[in-house]
Amino acid sequence: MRRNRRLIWAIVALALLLIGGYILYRYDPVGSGFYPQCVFHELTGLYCPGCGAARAFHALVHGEFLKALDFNPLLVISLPVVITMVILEIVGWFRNRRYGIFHMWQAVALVALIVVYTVLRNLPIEPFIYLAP
Amino acid sequence: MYCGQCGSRVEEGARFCPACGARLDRQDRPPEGASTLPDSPYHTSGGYQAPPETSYGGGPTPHVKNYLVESILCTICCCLPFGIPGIVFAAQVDSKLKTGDVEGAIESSEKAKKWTLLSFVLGLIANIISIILYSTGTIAGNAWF
Repeated sequence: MRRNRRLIWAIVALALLLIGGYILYRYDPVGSGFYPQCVFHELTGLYCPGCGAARAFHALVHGEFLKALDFNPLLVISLPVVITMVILEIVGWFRNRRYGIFHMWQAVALVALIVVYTVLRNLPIEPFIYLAP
Repeated sequence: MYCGQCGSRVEEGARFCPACGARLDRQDRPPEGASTLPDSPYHTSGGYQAPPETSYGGGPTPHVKNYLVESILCTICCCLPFGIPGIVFAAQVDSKLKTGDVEGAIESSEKAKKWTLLSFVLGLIANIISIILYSTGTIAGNAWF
């Protein structure tokens, strides 16, 4: 019963992922009328850490790695780690187990990384403009 | 009743197993389920069957969800700073587990869940509002993700 319910959730999640992937492949976020807009960017004019993510994924599913890197370098570089974590989380969910320990210094480092990245990509100075989408 | 994960006897109506920290979904367990231990050999960490009176320090690492992956995904995808407390509480779950503070870990797990859920719901609302504003032409629509 419990296992079946997890399987259903996993199938639903996989279906959503495939639909999302297809939409991202088929339609460019730039100029398509239905993608969500970044509220943070709309309100402040600044880039959030996720800005460029949709365009980066669109480029990635078309095999344009460098273009993706240009839109959101941190996201693209950390993608293998994030995917590994998601897979381990799902496997652990099915097997009622946890893989790996998340230490406090890692949390602090992660939050610091996101904050520093957000600040740097908004600086209009030469090396940092490459971090902006 | 009994914990479906480690087989320990737990109080009726408990939400978490005091021995291994697993969440107890009561609706999953049939009323007569107390006499059987469904799935228990498969669900203990490292294949180790925890005896009911295990001390927290020596046994296998209890399974307390830390919502780390969920909070990171929410922070990235929803563009909202509310995912960050989730990340910190996720680390708290693990550091409390390491010192054997299972009660504290469960408390942090609940907080991590709360913040992650908050950031997900707020992110969802913000994105829906932005789609509506964009499609009605209220905003220019050049703030692509």
